[in-house]
Amino acid sequence: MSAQFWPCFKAILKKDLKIELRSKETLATVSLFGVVLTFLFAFGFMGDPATNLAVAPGVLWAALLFTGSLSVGRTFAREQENSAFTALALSPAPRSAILAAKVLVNIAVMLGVMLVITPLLAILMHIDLSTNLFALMSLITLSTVGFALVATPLAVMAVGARFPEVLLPMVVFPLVTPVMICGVRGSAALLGTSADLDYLAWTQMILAFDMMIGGGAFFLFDWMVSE
Amino acid sequence: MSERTQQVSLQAQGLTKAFGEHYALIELDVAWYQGEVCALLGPNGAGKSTLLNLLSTLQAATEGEILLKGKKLTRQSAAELRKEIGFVGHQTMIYGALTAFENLEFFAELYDCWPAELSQKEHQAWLLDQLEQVGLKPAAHRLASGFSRGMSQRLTLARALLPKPSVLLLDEPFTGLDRAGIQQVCELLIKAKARGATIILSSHDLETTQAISDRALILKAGRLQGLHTLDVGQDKGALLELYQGSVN
Repeated sequence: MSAQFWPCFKAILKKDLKIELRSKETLATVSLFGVVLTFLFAFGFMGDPATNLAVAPGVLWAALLFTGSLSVGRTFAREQENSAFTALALSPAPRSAILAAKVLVNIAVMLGVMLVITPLLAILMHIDLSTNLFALMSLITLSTVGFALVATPLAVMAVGARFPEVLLPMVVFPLVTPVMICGVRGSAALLGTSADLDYLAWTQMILAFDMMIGGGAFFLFDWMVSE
Repeated sequence: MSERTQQVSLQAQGLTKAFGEHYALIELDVAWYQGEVCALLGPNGAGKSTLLNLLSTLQAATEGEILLKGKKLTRQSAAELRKEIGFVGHQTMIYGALTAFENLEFFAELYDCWPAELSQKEHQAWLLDQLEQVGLKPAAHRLASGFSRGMSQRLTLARALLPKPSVLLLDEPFTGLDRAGIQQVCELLIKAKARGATIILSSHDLETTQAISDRALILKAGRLQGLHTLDVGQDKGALLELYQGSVN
């Protein structure tokens, strides 16, 4: 790892968090979008307790997918303004530091949104998550990491495209499908509505996906930025 | 530039850039020297911006190579050599949601260009001094999103000059500046030249460009048409003649 990695990583992270905390643009809009989605899904699918338990994992991961896509798009839209990302790309900052900082910011925003959505969904659908809270949070966290690792480098490429807000979900959704499937099945196993595999097996699969896609993302990011 | 005894700072060898079947730059061979200002001239589509993008490492050449201080500019070496290159493009490349001070502070951290003799407490004063040089000290703590085009351009220049680069690439640096702003930028460029920086600039402000340039590189349809030395005291219309010659 280059000696410049940590100073640059810290500088980019500080800059992005400063902008986000100042404007609260991404967190506010994405949280609101997540809340609206949760209400729509909850009232659309709410039924008896057994139905609620069966539907909840799908609702939760659908919310993660849509809010995550919006959040990652916003992070790079900010860089697109005045072509600021060009200055970042022209700086001596290691590409891995740029990617790591951006991924971390996206994870922070997405987790912040999930912290709003998850209890809201539990309240609306009358689901008791207290017994499985830690396991569910680890599933959500790992899924969020996987999503951010896939979507963040692709968002860089989408920034230069003509319709980035359309292109990004089109490219990201198929690639994160394995994470979504594991997340849905894992949380269904936790809630006791699926008995095919233990939740730990699904968690391990997400972890493997994160490691594999993370390696690929950091390896290819320099090429993605340069071209 | 007094004498051509100076060292070559930047060199393009057989530099070619193609976008699909369209060649934006064809086999360019040029050497630029330390402490010179070179004006890039040519009509729209001549390859000026492409050349600046290649030299800045923003784009990769299709063929040929670039040498910076004798080192080949490759994907691997670019990270190390980017510190030596300052770039001002068509866009301001600044963060509107940050103040002028925060913008400079961010890039100073990325380039790790704090003067070694200064303590961390003195960094703030140093950044304010950099802003003062472009006339932005009174607006240091204002958000850049509220800046006029001229103010944004000054901040962009301050950002590019911050790490004291040995090569400064400027694409239309006088855009949006009033006469006083242009004068201020020229003074900064002359200062950079005096400390040995190589400055390559593309501008449609021929009068100002001629006043500070040592040489003019003429491009047409991606090919080098000529490389002319501009003498001090030369007729003010000399660059205009060269430009018109490249357009016709």
